[in-house]
Amino acid sequence: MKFSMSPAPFLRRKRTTLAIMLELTIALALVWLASIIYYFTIGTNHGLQAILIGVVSTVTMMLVEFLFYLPKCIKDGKEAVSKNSELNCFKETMKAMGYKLSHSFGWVSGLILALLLPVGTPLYVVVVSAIIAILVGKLLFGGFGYNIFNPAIVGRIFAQLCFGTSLAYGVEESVSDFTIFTGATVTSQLSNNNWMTTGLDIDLWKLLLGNYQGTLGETFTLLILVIGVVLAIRKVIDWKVPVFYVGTLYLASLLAGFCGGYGLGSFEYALIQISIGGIMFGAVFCLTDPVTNPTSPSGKVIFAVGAALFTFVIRYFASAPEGVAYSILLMNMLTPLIDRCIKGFTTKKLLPKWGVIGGIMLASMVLGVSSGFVNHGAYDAEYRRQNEFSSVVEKVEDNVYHVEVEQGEKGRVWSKIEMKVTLDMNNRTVTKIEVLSYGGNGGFGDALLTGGEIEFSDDFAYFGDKNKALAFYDKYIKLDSPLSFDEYLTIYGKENSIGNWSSEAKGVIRVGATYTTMGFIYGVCEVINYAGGAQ
Amino acid sequence: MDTQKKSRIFLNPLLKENPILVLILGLCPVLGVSETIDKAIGMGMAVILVLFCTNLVISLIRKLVPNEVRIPIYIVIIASFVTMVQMLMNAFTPELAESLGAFIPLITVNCIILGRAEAFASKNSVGDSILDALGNGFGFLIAVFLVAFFREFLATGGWKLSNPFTNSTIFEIRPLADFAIPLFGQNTGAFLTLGIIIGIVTAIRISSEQRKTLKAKKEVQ
Amino acid sequence: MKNLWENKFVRLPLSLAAVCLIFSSLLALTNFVTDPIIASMQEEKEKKAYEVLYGEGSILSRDEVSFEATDNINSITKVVTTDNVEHYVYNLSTKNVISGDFNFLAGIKDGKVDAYSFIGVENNNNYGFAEFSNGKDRLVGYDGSNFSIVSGASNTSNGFKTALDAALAHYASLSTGA
Repeated sequence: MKFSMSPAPFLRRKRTTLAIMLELTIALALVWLASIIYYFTIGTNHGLQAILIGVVSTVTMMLVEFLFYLPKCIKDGKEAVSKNSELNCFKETMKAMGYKLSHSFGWVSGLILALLLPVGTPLYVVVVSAIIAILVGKLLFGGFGYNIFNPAIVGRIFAQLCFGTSLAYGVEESVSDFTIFTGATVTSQLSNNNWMTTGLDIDLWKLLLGNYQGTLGETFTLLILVIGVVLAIRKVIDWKVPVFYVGTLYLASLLAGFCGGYGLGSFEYALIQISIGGIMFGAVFCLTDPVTNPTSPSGKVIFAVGAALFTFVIRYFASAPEGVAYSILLMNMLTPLIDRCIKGFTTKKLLPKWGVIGGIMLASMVLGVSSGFVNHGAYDAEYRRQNEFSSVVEKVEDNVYHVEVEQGEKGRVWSKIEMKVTLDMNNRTVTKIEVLSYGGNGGFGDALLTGGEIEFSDDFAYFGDKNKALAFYDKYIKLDSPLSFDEYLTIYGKENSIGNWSSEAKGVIRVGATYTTMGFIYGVCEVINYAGGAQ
Repeated sequence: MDTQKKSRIFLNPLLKENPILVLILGLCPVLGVSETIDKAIGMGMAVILVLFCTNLVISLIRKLVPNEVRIPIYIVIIASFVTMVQMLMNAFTPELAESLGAFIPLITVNCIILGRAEAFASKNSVGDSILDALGNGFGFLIAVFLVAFFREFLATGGWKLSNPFTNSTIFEIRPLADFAIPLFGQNTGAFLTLGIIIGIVTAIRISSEQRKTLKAKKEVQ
Repeated sequence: MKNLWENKFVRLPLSLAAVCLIFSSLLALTNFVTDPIIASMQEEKEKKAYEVLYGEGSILSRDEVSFEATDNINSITKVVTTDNVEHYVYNLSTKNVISGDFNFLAGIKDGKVDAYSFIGVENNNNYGFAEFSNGKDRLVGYDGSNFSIVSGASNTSNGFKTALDAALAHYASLSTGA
């Protein structure tokens, strides 16, 4: 029997690794194309940036591989020439290099990395991440087939750790959708909301069709699903890994939904959970990398289920919304261990194998249930308020009200805002606002409330944008012309709870002193409600 | 012949048998102080001073020290010198001492110092021991400086050199400050840089040795 | 004499003792030389901190006050400034601040912090320190109940708060007690 000593993947069909990888490349290119088209609909700069990121990432990786393999290829070329002096040294080197590069599949990692990055990533970040990804993640371990970690994920994590703040989700230009700039992706919004969707305007169809901001590749979930099915049918990727991964996550989220009080809405809730955060993309393209996941079928199942468990844990209990990348790396680390353990299980001992798989799945379910119970209270509007605002409204004269807003946390008062608000009930507008007192620490919020009378100290340039703050002041506080009730009420949210504020609202109030603007809007709305102006 | 041997004592630890890059001894302070070239040079100087003093003293008393208690005696000597250096640094170069922090007292347990004392100074003459101390000390300085050079450049986009005695800046250039990768200022980057540098040095060493054996073979033929 | 030296029980302790004696005397010598320098540097830093507290040249007299040792308080001085006002200046150290503890002076009068300055910390990458540094006056006016935590530097802020609470507690005991 002929033992093949080549590294994973071991193939039974006549199809070469190159052919499989080419099909994978076509699939990736399709996803990339879809994202380019989507971003062009937002703005031309976005679309161009999407193209550039993909091109830069792939080219950088190929370049690094070229330089890395150059010395060896030159040596091979010289050797070939010394054996047959009629050959051209340069041509031989290029032939050797061509063979090496085409069997190293650097461009695949390049495309995957590009699809993992958001559209606003600066190009030098892409270059550095690509270099580190291919160098540290693949070449230093020995090239294709010898790497432990998925190189694209390594590059992504590196980018996240080093340049986390530069990974913007928007590019500088006027856009139709304002929420891009605030960097509040759907996953971070959800995570701030304890992974419950009440009050956030997240639409399942919107998610599946990819009309939301995330990384380049993760948005068009339906397309990725279809591609995944096609690839599985054509045996380019192993179907077990994505099915078990997504399935476990879906079941766990389902249980979390049931216990969190969603009832029948849990099905949709669980679907939402698996449509965001790059789970589909990771499942189809990153987890299925045959080099970095175990070789045996049951090992692959353990790998998938373990990754699902890690993703669940990291998402719910840690603050990283993008838990997929970290969980993939963790399971990559455990792959040799899984392989070694599986070898010990002969076909007679089925129980340990399925015991392990079952055990991990059970753990995921238990976690789902427990997180659902923990967040049950969070479903209740009262408990979801992390920053409690309270107010006292008094009528001073006809249509003039005095309101005192206090902001505190668990009984400790942090700051107060006092205002006198004049309403025009007939036109339903606010005609005058006089800020009587505010936090008093000379910070950004104070400067905002006084329209710049207190200086916008440079130390807060970190958080806040002076121009945006002044714009907020001019529109909502200075009131050169009266502003209708609805302008305030729609920001505040339909229910009486801060956690319910919509993403548009968050875009408006996030100018650098969020508590101040929130408290301010809350105060005015309380006056409007007190006067009976809401409808 | 004699001078060649003596010069080899000094030159070997600089590159060919560099304690950090080749023998891989005493890596702990390298990871800690290689963030900036200021700290690297300061630490290197401290190590050279301590090595010099301890090698000198140990080689002086090597005939008097009984064999059974030589390790405790060496340790007392090393610890005393390190404490003296620390006190002097606190007095005359306070900012450097503060930035190096706990790594100055850690020189005591640096393998290089006890290793050289045990392996060389206790068996060789004073002159040789001094040469060995200087060689190893400068080897340490070269290695740490190399790592710090790249780390500071990658982490902050440039370099800054300042006079430790007066805390005045000699020069500070940061051409690529906008593209700084802060990861290299932290432990992860330290391991990465050190690993890559050791890899490159080893590769150069192996290829040069191969070339030498090839040349020797050709000469024999 | 040589026979004595050959005896293991004489040789070993004697050599150990000799080495220890020699080197402890060397250490004592170095300490003798460097200690005044270090002490004077520390005093300079503290003097500078005092100057920053109420303005240069504003301190007329300083008297040490004895107190029961606590974690945060290093020393207490009663200070009279040029306008003949008495302040109690506490030399405080924060404890358990993750990025490094701070040593600072806080002047307290009428149960409120009215000035503070740091001893010797000039450039520190800590964002929390940047928020509280000299001139920001963040801690001024604190009287035990109105502390505002700097968001993003809550660990540092809490360190300062604990230290100041200890000082305020002592100040309160002064007026009620002796």
